[in-house]
Amino acid sequence: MKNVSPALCFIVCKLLGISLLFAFWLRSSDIAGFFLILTLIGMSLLRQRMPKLKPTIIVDIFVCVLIHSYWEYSAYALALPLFQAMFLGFYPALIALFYLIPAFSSSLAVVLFFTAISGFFLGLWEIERKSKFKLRDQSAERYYDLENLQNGLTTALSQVEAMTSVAERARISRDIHDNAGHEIVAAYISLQTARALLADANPEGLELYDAALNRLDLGANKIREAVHNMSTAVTLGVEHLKSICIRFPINVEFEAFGDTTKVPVHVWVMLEACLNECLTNVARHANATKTSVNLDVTPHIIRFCIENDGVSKKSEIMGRGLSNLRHRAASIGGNLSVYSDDVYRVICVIPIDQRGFRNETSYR
Amino acid sequence: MIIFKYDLKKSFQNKAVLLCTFILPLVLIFASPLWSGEVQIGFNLMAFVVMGGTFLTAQGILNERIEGTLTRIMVAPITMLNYLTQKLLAYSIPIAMQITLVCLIGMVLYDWYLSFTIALILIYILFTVTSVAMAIAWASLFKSKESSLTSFSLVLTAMAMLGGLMIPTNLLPAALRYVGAIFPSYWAANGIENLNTYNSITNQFWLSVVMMIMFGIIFMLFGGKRRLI
Repeated sequence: MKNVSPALCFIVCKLLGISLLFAFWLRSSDIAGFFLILTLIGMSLLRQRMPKLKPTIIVDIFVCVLIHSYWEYSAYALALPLFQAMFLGFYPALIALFYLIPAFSSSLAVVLFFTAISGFFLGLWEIERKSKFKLRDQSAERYYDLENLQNGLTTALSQVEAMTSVAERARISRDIHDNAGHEIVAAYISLQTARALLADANPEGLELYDAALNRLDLGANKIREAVHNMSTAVTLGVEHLKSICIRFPINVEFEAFGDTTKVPVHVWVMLEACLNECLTNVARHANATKTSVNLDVTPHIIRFCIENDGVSKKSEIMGRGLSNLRHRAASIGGNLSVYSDDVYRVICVIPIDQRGFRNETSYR
Repeated sequence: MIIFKYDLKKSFQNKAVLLCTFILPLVLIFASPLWSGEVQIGFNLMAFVVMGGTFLTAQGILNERIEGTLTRIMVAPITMLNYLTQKLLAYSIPIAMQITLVCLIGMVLYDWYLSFTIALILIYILFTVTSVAMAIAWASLFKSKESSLTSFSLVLTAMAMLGGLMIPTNLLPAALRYVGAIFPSYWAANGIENLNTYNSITNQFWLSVVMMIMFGIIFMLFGGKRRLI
């Protein structure tokens, strides 16, 4: 019973109707009757193949009426187009029948009435079924959207983790280089200078002094080497965004304003995702001649704006990628908006003085 | 027209098809007892051979469906109508040409009138096209070649019996006399019988022609559904 559908019931009813008509035809064997049956089958198949030809039901009714004077049972054949019209929701066909009602016998009127009612309810069943399918599809789409978003956030989280460790390494290496490294090198130079003043000192003491200098030199070299090894091979932060813009096949202008050292690592990941998505959209959908990216860091917010002059009708629709980005921006307290007037503009605003972001370690 | 050319080539490569569509009609036309006397069974036998031949030829569409070729063809920018029209032409043209040749031979051998021969060619060609359309529609109902062949052999017998190709319909019981009208063979037999009886083209003949055209359209509409894939 699971496979029973209104469409199947409709076909079965139609076949039953055609069989009954054929049985009527066998009683009279009038050629006009057979012609009518073939016409009704052909038209029905045609509408099945081309659903837009729904109004051709009127032709069926017209042929039935036309053949009525040649074949007495053709009035009963009206049940077929009537049934189909009610099933497909083509109610103007009823008007044609109301016009003919005075010519009908009472028994025929009853047959047509019940046919119309059956077709109508079958049609309602089909509409309900379709709406349920639509609802199911919408729910499935929402589910897949959420799944995509979840995957996106999980990926973003792992990216943030990776970026945080990279940024932390960069910070440590910078601190060692800028503070400890410089101090040690300064001490080494001072001790080398002092060596000349100690020329008359105890030779054993001088030997120890030289050995200490050598070890200090060795230590300074090792610190330099460690700093070099710790420093990251990839560019980070604003440099990374700039390199994305440079590498992109389309000419993109990039500008950054403000103190970018205040931007936390997870925000850089978000900005990178936003930039990649927007530039891909520009390449795929916009016929842009100019694309520009602006990063504006103020004491309280980060405003990241990507705009292009390739505006189309589709531009107003927010795709799945941008929609996911909006959710990601919201998850860190920010917002992503799309504007489309003379230019197409995506603006991402993220606060940096909330949730203690200031206390987080920033790359630069 | 690639599909048309390819199917035309394949039609000539199939030995069963060659036997049914090229050799059998030639054998039949030279068997003079079939075309003379009171009951000239040759005309109906020829229609029967045409029907069998077209069905065998149109099995190609089922093969394409089973092998998955049809799915690959449908990936190309081609409509179902275009595909079916090319198939219809490819399957009908060789048989139609052979029928024309056979009828011309018959005209020479049995002194048929030119109008009679032309009308006969017309009805056979229409019957060929309708039979091919029917075979295509039939192929859309089955997923295996065996079940299609088995069930069609039953339908072929019923078509021949009730359609008047084997037994004239007026010899059938009254209850079964008009049942065969649901098959195109009935109208082919009807047209041929009218030609034989009156030796001229009557309204009844044209009626048979119209009915066969209608059958052809119906079968093509039915076979042209996407479920053919």
